Amino acid sequence: MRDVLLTGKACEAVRRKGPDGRLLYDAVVMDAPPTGRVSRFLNINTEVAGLARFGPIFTQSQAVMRVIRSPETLVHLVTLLEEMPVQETVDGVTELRAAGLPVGGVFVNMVRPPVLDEAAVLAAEGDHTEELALALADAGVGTRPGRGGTRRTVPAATRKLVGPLLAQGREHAARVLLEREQRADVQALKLPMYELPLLGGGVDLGGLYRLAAALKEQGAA
Amino acid sequence: MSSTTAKKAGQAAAGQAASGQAASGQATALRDPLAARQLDVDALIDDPETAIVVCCGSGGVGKTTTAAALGLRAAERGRKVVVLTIDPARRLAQSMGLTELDNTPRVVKGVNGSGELQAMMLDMKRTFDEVVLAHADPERARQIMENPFYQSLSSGFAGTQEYMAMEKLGQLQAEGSWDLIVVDTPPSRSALDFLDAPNRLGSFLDGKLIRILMAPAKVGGRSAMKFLNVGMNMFTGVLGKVLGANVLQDVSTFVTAMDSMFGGFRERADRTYRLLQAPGTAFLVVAAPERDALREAAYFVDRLETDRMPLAGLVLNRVHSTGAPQLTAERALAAAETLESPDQDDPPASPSASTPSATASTTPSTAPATPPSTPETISAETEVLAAGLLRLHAERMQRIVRERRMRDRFVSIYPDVPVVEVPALAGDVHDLDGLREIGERLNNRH
Repeated sequence: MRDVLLTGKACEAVRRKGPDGRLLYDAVVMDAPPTGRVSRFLNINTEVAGLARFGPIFTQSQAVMRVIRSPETLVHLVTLLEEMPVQETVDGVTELRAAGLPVGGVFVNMVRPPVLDEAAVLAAEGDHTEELALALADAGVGTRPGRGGTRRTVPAATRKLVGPLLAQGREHAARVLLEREQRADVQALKLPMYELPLLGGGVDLGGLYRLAAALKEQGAA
Repeated sequence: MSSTTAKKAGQAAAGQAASGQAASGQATALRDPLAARQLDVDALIDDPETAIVVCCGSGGVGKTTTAAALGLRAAERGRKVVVLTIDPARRLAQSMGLTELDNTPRVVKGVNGSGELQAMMLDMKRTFDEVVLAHADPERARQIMENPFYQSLSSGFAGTQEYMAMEKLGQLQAEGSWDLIVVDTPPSRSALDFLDAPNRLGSFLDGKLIRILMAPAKVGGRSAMKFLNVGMNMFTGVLGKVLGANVLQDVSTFVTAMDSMFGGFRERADRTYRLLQAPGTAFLVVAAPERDALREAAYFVDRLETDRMPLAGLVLNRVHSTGAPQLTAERALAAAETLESPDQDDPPASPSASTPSATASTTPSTAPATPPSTPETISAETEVLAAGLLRLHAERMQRIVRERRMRDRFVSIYPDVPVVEVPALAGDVHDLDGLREIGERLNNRH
């Protein structure tokens, strides 16, 4: 019932006119249930129409279906660069196409910035421990500020950090590899693809504006 | 225990994201996490009194994986286990042999130890059909199963999946072939759906609306249609106009055929509900250190207390940690910036740049413990590496601080709920080895 009401409300918003008689909204964006259930969610009106073959509910369902299947509607998929979300996205696209629903683009969310990836991959290859320790000490890591200048020795506190930092780099490298595979799977769908950066501090209003700007830059909106 | 209002405020606090706090300049130094009771998972699954373990929580927190990992571990520790999954990821399902679609448990191959593991994936439509077939004679059953209203209902009206999961649990328990049943619950935004939806569906099927529709058909054997047209029942008259006469016809036919099952749906849901309250049942609330997941977990903990259902503890998945907690995000970022900015005043890091007279007079033995091959310069490549590792570390520290804040809020509101933190894995779990790894992590003391 709730699904019928939601899709109905979205379609009503699409057709709503302002006081000047023109369509009130340029675009109506609706959040939908997780990918596994999306074609069910959008097709619910077909079922209701199937059940109620006459009467106002039938008419309503028909109207909703017309909007959902029109060229002005697109179903976008949001995913992460992780195995299960990408798998569900691929399955979701197949399902949508089979149901005759219009597929838009794929939005890859929470993408980490590339600069870290190079470092991570470097860390995974070769052994840079000594040089690294020196570089860290030089930059003031594990040392007291004010005692800068050149160093020939590395304080113990700095040295202790090298192992864990490298280990984190290697973990990240493994993740980067996985992400590359996932990206390839998404690209294979041959749909428009957009990327949204990971907001490190969580999502707040400022973050939302940043994401919106990123989307605009990529031509998504 | 705090009062209800205080608790609600606390719940809201538990749900608040740490967004903006990094921006407000709070240092990300790691303090010790709030002490919490440790959940002993092995003790729970080893205990012969534990007969049912239900894994609940909102979707996307690793419930299915946790349930499967628990089942495997219990089996490898000697118990006879069945795991009921709802929506497993494809590869995991394949490795557990869950792709058979006959709605009965099958033996999982590759299990070590003295116990036994069977597993199944819930097929809600089939389960609904099973209920119908069990209670109606073959002719009525056929009528029901061919009815369009029933077909729509059984393939996924809201609540059907939850109802059928409960129903299946009841069936498995009645069968008595296993001494431990591990139940995964359907993924949904609200963790409470698992408890609420079956009753809603049961009430609907047994409820007033349907009885109203039933009534005309009973009286003198006349069909519901006649009464609709005559308008003897005002309510159904109006309904007929709004829904369309054929909907009511379908529902009415459905209802007539289901006649012998009336009361049955609610009753079955109630019976399974009581099973959940019985000794031998343990609930595990699964969450991740994120706002929404912990808010749902909090609601669930409260609800279990209200319904007198036994909560074993909280499984907190996907927790991050670091081998360098003493380095704050701020220091790491500052150092990264230093490495990334071009040298302005400092000469390159080379021994020949330091005071010549000093080097002339020092002997190798007076130099404090330097390793034999101290590089003379730090290559640009290494600086890039160092900066990158520092930024990675800063990001991780920020994440850990956020996660810990979420966790501590929960623990401060529910100090009596045992908790186990499960470290984040690099990738998804695809197979039994991955499940074993999770099982190990569920039982490591930190």
